Amino acid sequence: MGYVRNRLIQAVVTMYGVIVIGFFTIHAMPGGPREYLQRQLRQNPMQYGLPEDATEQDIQYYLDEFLVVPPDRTIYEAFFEYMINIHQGDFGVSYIYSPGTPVVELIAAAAPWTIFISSIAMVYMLVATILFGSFMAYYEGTKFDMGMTIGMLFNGGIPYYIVAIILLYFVGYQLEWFPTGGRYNTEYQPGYNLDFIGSAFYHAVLPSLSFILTGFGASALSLRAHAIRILGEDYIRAARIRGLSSYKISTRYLARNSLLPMWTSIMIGLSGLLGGAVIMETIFAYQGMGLLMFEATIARDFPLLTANLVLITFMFVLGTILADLTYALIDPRAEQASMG
Amino acid sequence: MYGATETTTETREQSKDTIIEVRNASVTFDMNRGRGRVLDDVDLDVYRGETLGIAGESGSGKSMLASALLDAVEDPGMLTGDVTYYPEDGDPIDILELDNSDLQRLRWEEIAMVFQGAMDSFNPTVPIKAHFVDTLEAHNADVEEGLQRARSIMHDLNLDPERILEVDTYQHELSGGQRQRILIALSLILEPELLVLDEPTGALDLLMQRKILKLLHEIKDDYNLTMLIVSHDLPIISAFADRVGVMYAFELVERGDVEDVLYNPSHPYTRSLLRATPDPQTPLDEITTVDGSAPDPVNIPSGCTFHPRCPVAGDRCEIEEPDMVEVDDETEHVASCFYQEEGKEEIPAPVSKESGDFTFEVDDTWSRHPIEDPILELEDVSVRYKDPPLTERTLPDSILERLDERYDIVEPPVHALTDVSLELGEEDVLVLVGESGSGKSTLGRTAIGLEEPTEGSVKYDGYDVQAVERGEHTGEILFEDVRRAMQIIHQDPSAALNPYRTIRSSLSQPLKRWHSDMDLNDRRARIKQMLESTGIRPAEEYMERYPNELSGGEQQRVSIIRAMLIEPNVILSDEVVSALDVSLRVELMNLLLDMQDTFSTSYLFISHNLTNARYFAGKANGRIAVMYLGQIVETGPIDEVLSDPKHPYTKILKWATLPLDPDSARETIIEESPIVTEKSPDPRNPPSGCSFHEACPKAREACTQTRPKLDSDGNQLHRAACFRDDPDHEYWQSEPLHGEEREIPGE
Repeated sequence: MGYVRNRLIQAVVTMYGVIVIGFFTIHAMPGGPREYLQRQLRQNPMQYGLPEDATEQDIQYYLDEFLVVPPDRTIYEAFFEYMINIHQGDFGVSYIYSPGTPVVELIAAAAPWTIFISSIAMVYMLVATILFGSFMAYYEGTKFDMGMTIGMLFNGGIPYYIVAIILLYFVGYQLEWFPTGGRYNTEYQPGYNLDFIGSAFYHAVLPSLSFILTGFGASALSLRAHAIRILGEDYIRAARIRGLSSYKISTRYLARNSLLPMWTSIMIGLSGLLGGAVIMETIFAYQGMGLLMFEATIARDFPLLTANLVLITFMFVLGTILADLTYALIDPRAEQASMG
Repeated sequence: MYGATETTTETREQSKDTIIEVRNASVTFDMNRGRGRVLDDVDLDVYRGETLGIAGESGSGKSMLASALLDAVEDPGMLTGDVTYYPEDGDPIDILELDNSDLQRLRWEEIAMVFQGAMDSFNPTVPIKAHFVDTLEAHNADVEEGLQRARSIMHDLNLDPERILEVDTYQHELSGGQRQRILIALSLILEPELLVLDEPTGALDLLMQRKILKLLHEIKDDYNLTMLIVSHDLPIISAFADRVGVMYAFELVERGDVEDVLYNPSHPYTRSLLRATPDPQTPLDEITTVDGSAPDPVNIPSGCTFHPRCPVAGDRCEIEEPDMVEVDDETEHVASCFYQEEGKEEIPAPVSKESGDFTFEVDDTWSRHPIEDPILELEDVSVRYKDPPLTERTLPDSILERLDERYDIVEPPVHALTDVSLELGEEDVLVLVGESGSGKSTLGRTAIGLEEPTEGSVKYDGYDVQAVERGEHTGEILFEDVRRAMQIIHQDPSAALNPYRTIRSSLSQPLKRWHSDMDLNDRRARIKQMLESTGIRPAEEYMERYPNELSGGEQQRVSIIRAMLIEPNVILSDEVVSALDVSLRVELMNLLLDMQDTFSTSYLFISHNLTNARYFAGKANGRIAVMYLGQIVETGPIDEVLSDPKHPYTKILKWATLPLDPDSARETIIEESPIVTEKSPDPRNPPSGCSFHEACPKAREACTQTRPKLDSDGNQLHRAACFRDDPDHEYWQSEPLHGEEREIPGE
């Protein structure tokens, strides 16, 4: 099992690397949480419960009261303290976004929503990839194939946020078919009741759809290329002449073998979507991890930002490991190799 | 001998009962360059119970004809004509008119096919068993009963059905020979009447080829089959078939009983082809080449398609297409040629009825003394690999990473070469012969400094190559001079030439590197002269072409030129001719030999095939080294080793080489293999003592104890690493290992 062991060591090294680089680059950002809040207070003191003509003293007082400002120390001291704390599951408390609330709590509340829309998007993207990719391969060289290839290039070329804005405008505001923001209808009580669940799906449609409509072009083209190569293999021809049904050939012989080279990218696709969620959730005012991260960045909420980065890296590393370890399940040649 | 003759007579008596009839079969397809024709108006009858061989070179349309019998021509090919199947009882079936479900039933239940390339005929992600089950289900057959039948067929094919039909046995866990036999079993699962075999022994080693041919021979009678076997390898057809059809340029040019066609070939192409086939019994000087190259499917010559290459072609051949003419009235032997008699006079008969041994014309010029001043000297060289064997290197990278891990931790190293010593003199020829995995390529690559020996030394011109590379002989000799002096020509020329460079550009590189004094015009002139001297004309035009615009033979010539332009002293030629068509092999070997005269190089010539080895070394008065599991087991002058082999393995290789003569070929095909086990030893844990003892029919107790060495007292040229060579050895007193000692036929 030397392979699994080495693979885990690699993963741990990657995680630490990202935490170190993330911690220092985030702290190297110009400005800090105090400057951010100070500016906010000066511009709009009433929003923070201060009189309209708040004096500099008021503002300073408020800042001292309100901000959970870490004691003055060098960045290296802060780093070591941070490293020790995260091993105890403590990612610190939010400075600004929700001062004093443990970061872990904030993420735990937001992450499920993001994973929810990303998973929906991923499943449909995968289905679309397989359908379009294999149909294009099957009708290789026909007008259908050429038309679809152009379509897929458009699909892969248009950024998801453009589609998101278009959907928001037409389907959301003009036609009013779908809600334009939020995670669920606040009239319903969150929990295991049909109204709430239905509303959650209803609100997830547009964000997911924006991902789906732009996400499968590139992978469908790459599946098409793999499938064309597999279609030329002797075993496909042999199976056809042995009289196997086209259904069996297209599933067991064609699709499975064409997906092999794409397995890893499929498995880490979810973490890729998490990155895309930053802009997507901002557009749809969807209170998930993406929006959390966006606001944390604007506010220089260092602990929250670092924790988000760690989480996304973790998802990525986990996806890669899962892909590698499960590869043997879909390709028996690898099983013999890695388990032998 | 009698047995074989009787079978043929029987076949002839029942031969009038046609099982499948092909009329005017043509396959056309549209290409950018125009309409291509890959099967041209072929008529053929296959008789019930016979074995029909279809012979031809690559691209002659023989596989297309085989596919046409099942209406399985791949798109965009368009099959026209008639293919009629006559069931034993019932009405004739017009195969090309069948609807999909009837066609699906006919395939495999009546006519089955074993495809070329056993490596790729199974789905790599589906167990072997599923292939059987899927096929049975697709034909609504009883799965349990079918699997039972599969077990018994596998048993007849010397396979272990229980292991193969386990749920988790996949193709990559099986050897090439096993896969090929499983493919045969799979083709027989629905009890077809007619079995079409496309190059059934194509990629296999010599001994496995023989084994499969023998099994096919037995299975044909046991299962009452009619067989159609397609092969470029004439000895296989000669040994195996009752009748033969010869294809050239997408047409059948000659057809008849194997004896008639081989003893009395009546089409000039058949005669030339037979003469170009390096057969053990044909005298070396009588092996000639077929000039010119096969036509392009888009541009088939008018009239007789062979006329541009035919020595007896007249004006008539250019205009008029010859019909099949009976060669003599009593047999069904026909050939499509206007000038049969003239052809017979011009091209002498290549196959004589006298069966014989490997023959050599030896004269006094043959050197019979040890090499005095070797240019290349290997002393006790061993190579160990920690990496997975090269065969597994073809897997995707993601899998290889895992293999690397695995081999690093678990597996002992591969013993690729063990204590090999050899010497190569100036203008010398040494042919390395062995089956795949015998270490012949490793030896060659180590000899020319491409691989580092784990132990032992490689000396070029007296200098240790490794030491020179480390800079220990600076001032005396430079490593780059050693590098330049030893070159390699690869097996696959299309992979060896950069596809994005013109021929001129590829050939300019060595000149720029090594002859910096030459300017553009000098280089051009030199390349042109080299191309012309190797018969690539017009050279000016060829220089500006890309590799894909050249035929396989031309590409190989270009890579030979590229090696020669460096003016090396030693050339490793790694299976240079084995990927080429029969008619080109001799031509290229001749080219290499001519080059030797011009450039005075020495050759290390790797071949898995004794007939090519005999031709190349026999022409050059060279030596042979037979390899088994990383060791040289026998070496000496080619004529001595092949006419009087001492090592049992050499004897077995010689036995496995099929002669062209149908009578002796048929006789040998039914012989029991003298080899004790087909399982080859694990190169990671080579057996103790003699590495061949597990398979050797002559092995005795003594062979398991110590390893026999090639004794190197220097005076004896013909040496074998076998105790039997020494009449006083304790071997003769010890007990035989595998029961009674078996004879090796022809010993």
